[in-house]
Amino acid sequence: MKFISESKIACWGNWYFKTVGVLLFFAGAIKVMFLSGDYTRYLHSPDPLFREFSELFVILAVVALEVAVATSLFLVRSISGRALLTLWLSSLSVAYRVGIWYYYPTRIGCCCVGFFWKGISLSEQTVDRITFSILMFMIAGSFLVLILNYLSRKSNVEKIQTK
Amino acid sequence: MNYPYYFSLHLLIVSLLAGGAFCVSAQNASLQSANSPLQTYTATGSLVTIGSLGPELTLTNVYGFTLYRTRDNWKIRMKTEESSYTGGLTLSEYGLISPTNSYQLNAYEPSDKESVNDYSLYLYSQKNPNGHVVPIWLAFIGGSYLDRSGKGDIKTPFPPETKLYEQHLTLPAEWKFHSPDAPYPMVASYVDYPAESKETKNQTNACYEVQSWTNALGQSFPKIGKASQYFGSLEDSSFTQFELTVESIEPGVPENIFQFAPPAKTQVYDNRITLENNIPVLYDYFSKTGGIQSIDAVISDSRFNDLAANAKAEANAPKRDPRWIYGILFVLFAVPLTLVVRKFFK
Repeated sequence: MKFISESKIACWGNWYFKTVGVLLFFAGAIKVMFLSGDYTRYLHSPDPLFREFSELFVILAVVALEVAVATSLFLVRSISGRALLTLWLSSLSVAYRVGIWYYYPTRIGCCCVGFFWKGISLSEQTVDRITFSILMFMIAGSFLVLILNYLSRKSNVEKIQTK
Repeated sequence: MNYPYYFSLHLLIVSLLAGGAFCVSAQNASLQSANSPLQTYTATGSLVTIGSLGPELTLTNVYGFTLYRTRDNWKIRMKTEESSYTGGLTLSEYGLISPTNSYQLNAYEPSDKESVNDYSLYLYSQKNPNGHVVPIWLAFIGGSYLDRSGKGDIKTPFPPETKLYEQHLTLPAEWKFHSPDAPYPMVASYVDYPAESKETKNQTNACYEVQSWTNALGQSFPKIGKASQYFGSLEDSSFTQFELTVESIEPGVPENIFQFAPPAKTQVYDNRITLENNIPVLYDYFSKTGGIQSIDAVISDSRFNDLAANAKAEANAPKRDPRWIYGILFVLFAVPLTLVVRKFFK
């Protein structure tokens, strides 16, 4: 069975995870940028899901996780390790969104994105669509890389066995 | 005391009182002419709140307040003097926009941006306010709300959550009056209990008591009042303590003090309209030039129907369960960590 070589997948994966890393750094930076100024008043209210904590705390925790995962995506060499890291971060985001959707069915968007959209001419819906697209990109891309990596390894093993 | 001396003293008191009355009317040239000093008054003082959100987290706020009171109206202004957690809030104003609807107007640090609100206005279908202002309101206006000493199920002035305030939460309560026949009857003590449940038996939801009294304008007013409000179950140590100190009570109120005119750049949160089962519909909008929309205008807006449908869906949504939320969060963190540790020590 002929399949894409492992080195090609590593090359694509490398670009893909660097893109995800840059996106995560960007997302973290934009959240931090809007933590001061006109929008701080929104940060002191409790987070809807983690009511024991303020929105500020939750946003900072999200930023810390994003930066940690983004840094790891640049430092870790293993393709599957990076894919699993990305999937893990995505699973946290998905779980948060499911929680919000379940307990607050009419709420638009994920509170963990912060309030930067209030400072720019974008609606909450638009920002939610963008963040959802990034999340889908992370999940679909990581799964694709994992599957391709697995298939390529499998075909390599088969090749060695047939030889 | 011999009679001539007593008579001259009496004359002196009468003339002083007359002078005082003259001084009051001279001082308050701008006061509402229809409001005689006995019918209206202005009280000032301070309120300290200590909120414990857990064993290690305590939030303290010190407010200066001014209260304006007439027979059928009131207004309270609270200025944040010290706070561990202001959120940019500088001033809050509470009052009535109709006999049964109240408002809360929050002023923030002004922003240069046109699209950023400098004020938040909350409109409610309740005649009592919500938040840290409650002990001040209970001290001076609670008398009109509770009417006479008694006990029974009433809409609690201390709802444990804003949502429950909007839904007019009723709790079993007991209250006593200090001076039921005074022009402005004063509440001496108030206590209410959480709705019956095994978990919260013998626990109070909130309590308020006047520690000392002062005489002004011919009747008693609270001088120092204390209140406590608890949140959650017996295991939950979350509570807020209030200490109210009244510094002065003066006759009269400034002219046009009760004119309700929301300023420009106000974000309005209109909660006045409720559906069946007291489900409030939040209708929000940005008032760029000031003022508010009438209830008719709100109802005729097509967006209101969507918001009403959303409010119904929210009300029927499952109640938030922290065990599930933190349980899932724990699994999402613990499983990958276990895998990493296992791989590392393999």
